[in-house]
Amino acid sequence: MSMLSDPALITMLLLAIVLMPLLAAVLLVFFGRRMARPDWLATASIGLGAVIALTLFWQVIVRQGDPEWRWASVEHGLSAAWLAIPLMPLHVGLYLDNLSVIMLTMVTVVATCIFAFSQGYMHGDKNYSRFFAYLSYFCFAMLGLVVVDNLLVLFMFWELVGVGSYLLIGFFHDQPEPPRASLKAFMVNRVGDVLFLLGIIAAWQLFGTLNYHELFERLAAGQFAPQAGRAFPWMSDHGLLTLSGVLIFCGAVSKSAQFPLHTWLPDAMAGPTPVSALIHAATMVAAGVFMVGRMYPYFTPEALAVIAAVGALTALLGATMGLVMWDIKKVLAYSTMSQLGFMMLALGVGGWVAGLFHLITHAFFKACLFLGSGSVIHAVHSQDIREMGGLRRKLPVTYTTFVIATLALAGVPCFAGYYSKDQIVANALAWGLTRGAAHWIPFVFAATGAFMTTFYMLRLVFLTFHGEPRDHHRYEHAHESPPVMTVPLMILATVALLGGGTLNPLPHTEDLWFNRLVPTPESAAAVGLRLEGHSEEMEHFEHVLHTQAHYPAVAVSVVAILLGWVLARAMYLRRTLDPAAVSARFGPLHGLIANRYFLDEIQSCYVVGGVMKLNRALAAFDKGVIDGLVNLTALVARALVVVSRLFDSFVIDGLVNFWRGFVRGLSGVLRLLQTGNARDYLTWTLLCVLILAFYLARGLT
Amino acid sequence: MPDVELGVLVQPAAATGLAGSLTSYLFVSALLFLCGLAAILTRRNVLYVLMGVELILNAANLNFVAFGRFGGYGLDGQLTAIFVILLAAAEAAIALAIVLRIFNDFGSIDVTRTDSLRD
Amino acid sequence: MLDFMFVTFAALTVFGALTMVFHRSIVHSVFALVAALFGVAGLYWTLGADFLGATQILLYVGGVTVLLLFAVMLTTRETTRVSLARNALMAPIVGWLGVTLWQAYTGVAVVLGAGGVTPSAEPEPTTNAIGTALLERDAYLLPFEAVSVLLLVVLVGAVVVARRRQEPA
Repeated sequence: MSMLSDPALITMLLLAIVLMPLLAAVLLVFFGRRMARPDWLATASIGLGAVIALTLFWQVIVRQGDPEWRWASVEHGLSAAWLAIPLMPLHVGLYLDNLSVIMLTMVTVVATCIFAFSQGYMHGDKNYSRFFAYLSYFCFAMLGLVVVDNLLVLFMFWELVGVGSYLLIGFFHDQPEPPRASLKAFMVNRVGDVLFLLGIIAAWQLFGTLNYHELFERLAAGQFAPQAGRAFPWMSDHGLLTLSGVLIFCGAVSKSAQFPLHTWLPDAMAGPTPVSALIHAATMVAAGVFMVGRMYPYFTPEALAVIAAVGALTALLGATMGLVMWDIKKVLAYSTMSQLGFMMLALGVGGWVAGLFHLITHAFFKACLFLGSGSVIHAVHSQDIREMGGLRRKLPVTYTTFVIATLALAGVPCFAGYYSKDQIVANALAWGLTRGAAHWIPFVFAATGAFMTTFYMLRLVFLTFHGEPRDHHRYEHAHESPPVMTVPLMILATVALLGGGTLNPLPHTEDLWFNRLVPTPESAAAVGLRLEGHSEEMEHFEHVLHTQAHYPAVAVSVVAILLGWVLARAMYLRRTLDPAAVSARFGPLHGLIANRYFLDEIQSCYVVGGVMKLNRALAAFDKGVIDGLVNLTALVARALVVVSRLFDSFVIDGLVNFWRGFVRGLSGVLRLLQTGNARDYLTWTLLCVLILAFYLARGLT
Repeated sequence: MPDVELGVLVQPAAATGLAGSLTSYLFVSALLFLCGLAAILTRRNVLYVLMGVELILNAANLNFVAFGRFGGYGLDGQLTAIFVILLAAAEAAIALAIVLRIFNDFGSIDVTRTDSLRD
Repeated sequence: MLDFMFVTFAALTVFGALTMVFHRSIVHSVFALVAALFGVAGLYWTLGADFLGATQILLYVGGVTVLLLFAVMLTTRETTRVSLARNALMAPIVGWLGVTLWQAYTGVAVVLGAGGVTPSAEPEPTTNAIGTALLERDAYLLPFEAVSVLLLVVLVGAVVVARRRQEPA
């Protein structure tokens, strides 16, 4: 029996994976304080999800192994009608392909390791259950993001993930830094999200659907919606598609900390280390890359060029800043930023498989590195590497896993990172070869970035774990972490080691399981070429990639790694080169980099400042005009009061007085009848009798 | 009373003529009534009120008898008139008592003085 | 003959009534009333109500006028006058009333078709018949008895009403 043939079962399993963490989060919010072990509930919810995901992984990847496999719940009639307005009916369903399955597995397994690690790291914290509640909520949002089948619901979960990040960064809310950092993260992400939404709207206008399935079908057929209902009807299909692609990419720019919306990521290190591991290394920042990968057929060559450029710049910038940091977590944060740049670069140059493979492997070893740093911080109660040294003797397991992960990150052959990174470099090289001129930049930046990556990671390792301890007090008290923290490290390091699926340093691309199972989708450029009958351009690129670029790329990578290793060893291990002298040589440049290129200051001055000016202007308008109007109505009301009072005293009272006078007059007249004289009464009676008789007589005749 | 003597006066009613028509009696009765009313309304002495009432009653009696005679009611007219006379007498007695009371209480029999009902 | 009787008695009645209304002296008025009552009695006789006429003289002339004279005697202190202002007001009212009454009377008379009914060929004495009627159960027995009681009550009542007050003022 194949579980894959039962749509109801798949739907249930996917919903279980996504909703179990949500359930755990809700329960923890309400009952967490009263629970004995809230962490077990959370870990169980995500652990079960991991088990289901691994089962799916087994079925889809290992047993079935069909690169073309797709599963959309819409096709099986298992989607929920959400918006039933005729103009834009929206259905929510689930979408699976090999990539999603791998993503799900990665997220759940890494999250499970991190949850387990947190039991040790956050032990004794007074908000223990709340931490796990937030973590579970975040997992729910992230997993939801992976499985949905249309852009709008993706955006919803995108925002939910942002909320989770906000909550978790600002977890230590009584300290001054975390709340500021979480707000900054949220705000910077907001900028990207707005642009993302604009891109989604443009996509809607272009194709009339936001569902992946339908969208990709229409893209493949070049089937655009009529130009009548668009925002910019004068723009061509291609132009609007490019613009929309760039806007959608902007969402990834903020979420995945690309230049220039990267400023929030280093500040986000104010959150607890497990949070940094989960969100800012493995999952949330990866969501941007995942989204770009998912939407790959959507991007025109121009959009892809933008992506490549931004990615390349980010890769280099992040690497330069990682060189000069003294905080473990900051080094790793800039490393993450740089690696994300690599992934975007890969996607931009056409190395779709490379970029996404790197996403998966990076998640594992970066999480391992962050958790390892957490272990170190837990041991020495400091994050500053100037206060460390020689810790490999005290923290052996941590040291070993940390080194393995570092080697994977650097792209040392045979480790998992090598296979993905090597492909990125190869693709960049092919891109440069096929197009020439400015198109060489990604390759140059990638190679330089690889060199720097090795250098700063080894710098970190040497300063932290090797040499003599610089702070003896901390060194004395350092001890290895408990198993609940070291076992996840080991699991992650294992994947970092073996994730390539092979130990062959020079594999054919077909040997790599990822390449085999997750084929590159047809890019918009390719579609365009195909429809015009010029498919040979794409074939040319593929040809160059596989023949000319492959081995040189490997060579360049290895050279970069060696260079980095030699330099780092010289400066930080053997002390043949003095780091202080080197930084003095590069004086102004060093200052610039150490101050993060003043980008934070520029942002806060111009962007935030500009917004604040607008805010003040609007506030003045509100006070002056709106409040003025309100006060005016109050004045009018007061005037009305005066008028009504006058009315009351003159008209109403006048009426009353008139009646008083009238009645008095009338009664005065009538009183004259009462003479007390019987004769007068008789007279009047007689008169009335006469009148009556008169009318009677008239009636008789 | 011997019928014969009265027979001089009481004669069979003539078909026409003053005595034989109802209207002449009605005329007299009307005049009597008006005189009685005038007496009540115009004189200040309360005794005039009494006398006026008697005149009115007599006018009514005359009506009764006249209609009884000319309307074919047999003796009903006369019998009614008898009762009216009786009642008039009784009423006159009471009226006198009241007049005496008024005289005692108000010190005068001027009706304009008896205005205790005045506002 | 009868007409002459009628006119005489009618003139007596009317002039007596008018005198009574307009004379200054009350005593004169009382005696004018007497004359009017006599005239009415005569008119009864012309109508063939012999017993009634006699009763009229007995009770009215004999009883009521004596009462009136006693009243006059007991209460006269000042001469009264006719209030002329009131006369001016009353004249039109009374005049109109007269006209209306006359119209009503004649109208009724027309309705009844009276003016020629001859009850009997020759005059009959009525005393016997009245007496019988008064005591006949199906006729006027009840009113007769009731009136007797009434007279008793009036007798007592008059005394009560006219009595001087005993309680201190």
